[in-house]
Amino acid sequence: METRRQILQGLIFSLGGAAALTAFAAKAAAPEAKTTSAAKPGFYTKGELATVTFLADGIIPRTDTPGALDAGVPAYMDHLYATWASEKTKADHRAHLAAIAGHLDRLTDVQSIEAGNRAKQRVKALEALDAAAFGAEASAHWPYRSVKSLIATVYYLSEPGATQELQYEPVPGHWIASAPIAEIGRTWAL
Amino acid sequence: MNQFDAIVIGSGMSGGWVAKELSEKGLKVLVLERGRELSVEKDYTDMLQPWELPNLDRINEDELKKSYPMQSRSVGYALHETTKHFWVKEDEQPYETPADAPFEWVRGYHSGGKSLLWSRQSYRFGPQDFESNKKDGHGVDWPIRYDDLAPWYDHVERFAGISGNADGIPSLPDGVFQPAFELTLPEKAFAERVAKAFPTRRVIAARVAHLTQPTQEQMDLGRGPCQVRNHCHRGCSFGAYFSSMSATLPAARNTGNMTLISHAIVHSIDYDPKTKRASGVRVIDANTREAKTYTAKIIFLNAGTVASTMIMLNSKSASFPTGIGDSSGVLGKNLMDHFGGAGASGDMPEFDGYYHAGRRPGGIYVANYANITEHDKPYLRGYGFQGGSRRGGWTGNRPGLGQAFKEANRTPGTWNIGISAFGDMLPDPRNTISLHPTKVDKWGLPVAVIDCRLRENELKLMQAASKDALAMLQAAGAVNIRSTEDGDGVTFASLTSPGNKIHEMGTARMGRDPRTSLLNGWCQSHDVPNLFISDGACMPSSAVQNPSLTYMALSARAANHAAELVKTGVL
Repeated sequence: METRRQILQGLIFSLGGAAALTAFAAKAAAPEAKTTSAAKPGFYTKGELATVTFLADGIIPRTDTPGALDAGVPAYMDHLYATWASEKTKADHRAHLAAIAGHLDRLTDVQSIEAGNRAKQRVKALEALDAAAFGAEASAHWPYRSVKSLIATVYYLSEPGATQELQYEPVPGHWIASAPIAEIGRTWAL
Repeated sequence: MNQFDAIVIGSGMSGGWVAKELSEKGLKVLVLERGRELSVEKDYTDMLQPWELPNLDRINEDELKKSYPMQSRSVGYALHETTKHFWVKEDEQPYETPADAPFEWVRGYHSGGKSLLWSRQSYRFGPQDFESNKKDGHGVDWPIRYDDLAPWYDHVERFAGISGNADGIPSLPDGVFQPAFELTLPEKAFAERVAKAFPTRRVIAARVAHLTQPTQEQMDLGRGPCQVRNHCHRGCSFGAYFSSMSATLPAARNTGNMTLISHAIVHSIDYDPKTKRASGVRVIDANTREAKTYTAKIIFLNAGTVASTMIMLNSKSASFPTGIGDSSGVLGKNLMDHFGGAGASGDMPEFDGYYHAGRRPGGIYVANYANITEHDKPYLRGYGFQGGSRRGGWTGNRPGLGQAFKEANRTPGTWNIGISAFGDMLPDPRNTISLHPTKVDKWGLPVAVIDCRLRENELKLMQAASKDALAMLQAAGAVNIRSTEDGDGVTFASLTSPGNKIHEMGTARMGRDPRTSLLNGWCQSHDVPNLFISDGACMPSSAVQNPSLTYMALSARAANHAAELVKTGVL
């Protein structure tokens, strides 16, 4: 089976550009960039990681394509906040997660009185939160919308998100200005 | 080995051209570059896939605030974790501005300079742009006219490779073009509808310095056609867009006549009052701080407008107490930059049955019509618009969960089209670059003090541009229009800061009269005949077009003239 690099290399050979060939050779010799899922947890507490994992799986589950957990979204976000965020952004993000967890807890607790299945109720709580966040109470749910946006961003720019759920062409080679959408297909990841 | 025919200070957009032209004429050329030499293999990051970019390609927030506070405003679109090594750390190389007049000084200190980092828009100035100063009395008259530069535009376009259409617009002359990137359906509709509603306005395909049908000369330099990836700000391993790195420096190197020395920070240029010539270039090694002086018959300053001006200001002598070649007293004055702050965008859902493929590097351009084909304006000069269309992509900012959420993101959003203005800034002697009287950088050189302000004409001009942008979007039938007419409209506070457009120019201007300008029509010092400045500093006015192509043409023209003067023994 051809690796992604071999496919790319084949493309470059057919396209010309001597500089590209040398650049490719140098980069091919270097070890593959570490996948984000390999990153070790470093920012989230156990509880926060559980919240992010629950949200990622609830928002983008595995279907006929990989989901956010398959794409390593929680680990990516953990690494992102550990190494990119300022102290203020870190604190804001923790507060957002706490607010979201609080909302989910409140919704779950109320509904759990009647049903024993907490996991199912938790999913229903998320559905209620999502509906509220994009409805009349939108301004009260900025923390959720912010985290949902980030989960989507990390997922759709991950390899499975970009290449299996959506489509991504590393070297398009030519420009098609407008064609019937059925001929192009799904949304471009980039 | 320290004897050269020519020294070129700076290896960027204009310096690369001078190095190429002079070395191809047989001169021995020394290029002094204050930064390091980049390597395509090690420094370009265009082969990384989206999922290989660390932290979504975001720079650590504390680092961004500390090292790139101003540049992150201007070039946030290109300042990422995988490109940050191309941008100067502001905390390490500071400059000063008045508290109420920020200047966003964007710098790239490495071989190729900002030519590696530009957005590649390439337009000729039109005949009117060489006459505007004379016509309205601001600044000094250009010592050349369009016809003087036209063959040099041909020359640089043929070598650099510019994609574009022959649009037949007299004020935005056609050039030597490779095929343009086709407009999208919304862009075609926009162009047609604007032309119908405003017969004096032309919407065209952006002209960009990307190879779409490379010549043998370009391929021989290792350059290939644009692959439509739009990773340009990470460098292009295909050499598909023009830069000193991909084109002029390799061409100069091929002659065997060019020597490039990196980490060479120019301190000043020596002047010999006996010969009335520039006699040497004083250099500090950025790493060892060793001082050296290089000599040559001719010296070209191509360090970029601010840096070239600083070098001249720091080259004081009894003959030129305010800086070399400054008998006119205008050195460091009349700083200009294009400016923005007006624009509009809207949706065009009627085309949602269509989608694009590939990531095109340009979009559309609206040629300036103000005071050209539309008159009686309450301001001087005019503005052009850059823009383009795109379909919205995936987003997390939508309701829904699970399968439904994923399904919704599999269909792209609606088409959106937008334009934003670039205004012509009047030359004004109150806009200045000067040496700080006491503060020095880590090499002991005075830091720059930049005081550049937009004034009444600029405000009136951009207010008109804002109204026009909205009117054009409306005429095109766009819906959900957002524009700078929303809210308070265009005010001084909403204009972009000088420096933001990275087209700084004008502080060592050309002119006909040595009493009011530093350079003649060959970018040659009136006072010091073996000194040439052909970067943005030489510009008497800014026009509205992105200026790099004009810098290239002026540099090639000046270099060929200088080479002739050397060969005939004049210099």
